[in-house]
Amino acid sequence: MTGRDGIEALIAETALGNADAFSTLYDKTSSKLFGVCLSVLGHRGESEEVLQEVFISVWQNAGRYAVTGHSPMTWLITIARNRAIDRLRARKSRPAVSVELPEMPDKAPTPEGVAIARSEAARIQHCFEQLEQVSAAAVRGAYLEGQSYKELAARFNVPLNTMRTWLRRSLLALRECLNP
Amino acid sequence: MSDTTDIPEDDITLAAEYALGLLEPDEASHFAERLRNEPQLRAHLENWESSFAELTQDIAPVKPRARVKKALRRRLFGQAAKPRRGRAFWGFAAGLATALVVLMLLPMERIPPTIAPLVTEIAAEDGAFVLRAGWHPDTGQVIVQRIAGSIPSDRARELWLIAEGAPAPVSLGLLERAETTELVVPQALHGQIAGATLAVSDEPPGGSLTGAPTGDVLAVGQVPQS
Repeated sequence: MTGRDGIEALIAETALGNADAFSTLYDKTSSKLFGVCLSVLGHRGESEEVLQEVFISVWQNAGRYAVTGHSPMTWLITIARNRAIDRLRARKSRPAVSVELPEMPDKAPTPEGVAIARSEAARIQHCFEQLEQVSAAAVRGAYLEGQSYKELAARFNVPLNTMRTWLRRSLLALRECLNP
Repeated sequence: MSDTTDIPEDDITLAAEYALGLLEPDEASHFAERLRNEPQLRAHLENWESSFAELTQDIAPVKPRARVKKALRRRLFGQAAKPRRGRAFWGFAAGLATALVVLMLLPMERIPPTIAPLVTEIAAEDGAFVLRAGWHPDTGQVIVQRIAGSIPSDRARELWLIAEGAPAPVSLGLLERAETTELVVPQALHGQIAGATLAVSDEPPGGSLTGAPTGDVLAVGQVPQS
């Protein structure tokens, strides 16, 4: 299993153009990132395309990792989630042409080797659990499904401004919990 | 965690909304612009990104098909199934033991494309060795200025181009002992410089004999896209 230091070293090597390290980085992290893409897109073909784009971005931008404050998996997951959401939104704005059946991954805990640091994860989970049901669902809806304020307001049957106010208040409370 | 005391409340929620993708396009552009100049705002964004990434905790890994990696290799490294390995690709086993490298810096200047040179800083982690390199497409030259550090009398410094999608680094030539080096770049490489990585390696006098870096990689920088 490769811990955080291992992944970090692979990213550093990748930044120097080491294709072997990049290949290993792919082998160790692509399953988690593919799971994220599938979860967002529900469509294997599109997820495979997005996964490629994610790793092309990793190859080109590995040098930028060091200047972020991120843990390596957070950095990778953020790239994957953002790309997948962009693709999802692009799909929403054009008529569906594909008939491929969606594949939804099962919900299961991640292997130790690629999990975000355990104690920090527990704290973050705890803080999310403190959120009101609607706000927690709204944050998930935005992060994992790319829902807009407009869609969230419709989903919870409230005016747009109410949705904004609720969510912003909850985000401040979440922040208080995360950084007391 | 980072110091958060002085951030106005609006910026905290704004950073979260940006991370969640809830901002309108013009609001998002404005925020992105601010990120360039406000490191504390960037720290807040990264805190949110880190917290939100936790929402993927329960998403099970799913192994992608082998064809995905093959397609990725083709796109990045061309027709070869695997990148060339026979020749100690980076000499990295020896090179990185000393790990003086630091990665990529933001472009020195944001200037419009076409006429002005693309400038980047290439630096070592401890700042002991710093260069400024400019790509001049009109004359086909990379002009390198040594800003800090020196070249030992018994060694050479070689500049390498690692273009996007290239299977191996390509030598652009040796750095002069003088402060400024003018390197003429072969026509075939002109299209590959923008967005590429530049690196400096430690070599014997006269440069690498193998066509690939043999010594430590001392410093790295990235040429802006435009």
